[in-house]
Amino acid sequence: MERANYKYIVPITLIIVVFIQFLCFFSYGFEVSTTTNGKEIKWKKDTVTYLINTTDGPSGSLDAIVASLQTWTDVDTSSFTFIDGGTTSSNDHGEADGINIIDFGKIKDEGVLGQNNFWFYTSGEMIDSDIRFNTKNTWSTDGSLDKFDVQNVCTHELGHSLSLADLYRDSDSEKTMYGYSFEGDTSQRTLHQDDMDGITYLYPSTTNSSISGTIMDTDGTVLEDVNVWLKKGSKTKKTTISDENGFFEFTDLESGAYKIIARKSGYQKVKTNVELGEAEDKELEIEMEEK
Amino acid sequence: MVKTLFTTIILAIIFMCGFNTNAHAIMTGLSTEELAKSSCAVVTGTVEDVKSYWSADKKTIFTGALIKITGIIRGNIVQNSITVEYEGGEVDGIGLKISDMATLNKGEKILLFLKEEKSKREELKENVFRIVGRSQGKYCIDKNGIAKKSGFSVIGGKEVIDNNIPVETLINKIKGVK
Repeated sequence: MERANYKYIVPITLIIVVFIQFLCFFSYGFEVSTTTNGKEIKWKKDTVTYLINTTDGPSGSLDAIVASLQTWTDVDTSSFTFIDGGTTSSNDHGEADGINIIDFGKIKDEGVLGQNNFWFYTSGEMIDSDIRFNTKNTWSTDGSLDKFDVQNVCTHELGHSLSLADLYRDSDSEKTMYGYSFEGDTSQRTLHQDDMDGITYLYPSTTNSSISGTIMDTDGTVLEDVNVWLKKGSKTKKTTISDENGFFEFTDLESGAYKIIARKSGYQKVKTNVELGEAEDKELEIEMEEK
Repeated sequence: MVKTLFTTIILAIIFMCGFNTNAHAIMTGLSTEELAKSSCAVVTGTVEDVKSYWSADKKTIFTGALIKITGIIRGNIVQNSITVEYEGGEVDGIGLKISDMATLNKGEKILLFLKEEKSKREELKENVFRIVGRSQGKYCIDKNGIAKKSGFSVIGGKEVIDNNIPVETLINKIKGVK
């Protein structure tokens, strides 16, 4: 009788273990920072601009940082957009001034490579984030084995800017938010699915916005058969062609920063930047000039 | 037999789930020896009180934690209680978090690597202490006497970090640093 019970206990407990491991995996695929009262911290808006100061950084730092910003922006399932606000000479790191800065400078404490200071209301709304690379360390942008990689660290730190926290389990080692890395490591430049799940959890894509418009020439005559591209970050999200009324439309869009590109043979290409809010229907008038 | 099996399974589950941490970071890994050599004192104690306040210029937030000392492992501290100060905290409805910065919570039993310095509070005349190596310099001691630390991430040096070890082993290691 006891042996018969034991026969069932082993498979049942194995199933329980696998099930709990499954739950653990999904429970701890990412971590979100909280206030002391346990409220999740996150930006209220889903478009955050960083100014960049690469003074004292290695050559190629600007491109590396911009690539890091783009990596998070390119997550299709999230509406969040990091905007490259251009360069600055400011080194106002750590101040709650509403200006987000990425720079290079000295950090006093022992062993610190990079630092992210972020400010928030205790209601959970994040209001400022500044990232600094410690110039006491040697940085590179080409994956040199004996140096710290700017893009690797920046992508990780930007994860903190989104409010994602470090992860420490061995099973997290493939993730950008893994807490351990090494000199020359470039693996965290690329997001793991759990990193993408993290940004999506915090800033989910809501596809209830649209962009439409009319395309005309400089005389006000509507233009038919204009190729129109909708881009978010470096990715083309949708394409369409203007109808006989010069009209085009992109529907089911999430909020965020977009670029509309219109091209037609015999006309100069037109690029238009669009900031699209949630549940917003934006209407544009695009004028194309003959070559 | 069944009891042993279930105990093993429960331990496996705990191991698989890991434990939850919630902080930010990029540091280089610091060994116990490096932490000890960079410290003027290493103590065990209990966090009795925690209070955050604005800096004099109102540009940043600091937190002061009152630590009741239960043991001095290294260095000369004559007080029964000390104040450990660090940047970050929450005050007046606003909060600041800083990468890797150790935070102290009331009631925690801890082992700290410390450096003495002037307080950021101008009205405080006596010196305070800061934790060396941010979160790497703070161990929490659980009810089983295991010293654990978290809240930091490192590039390089993972292998030199002592973590999840009996506190007595850690103390002996610290005492052995010349």
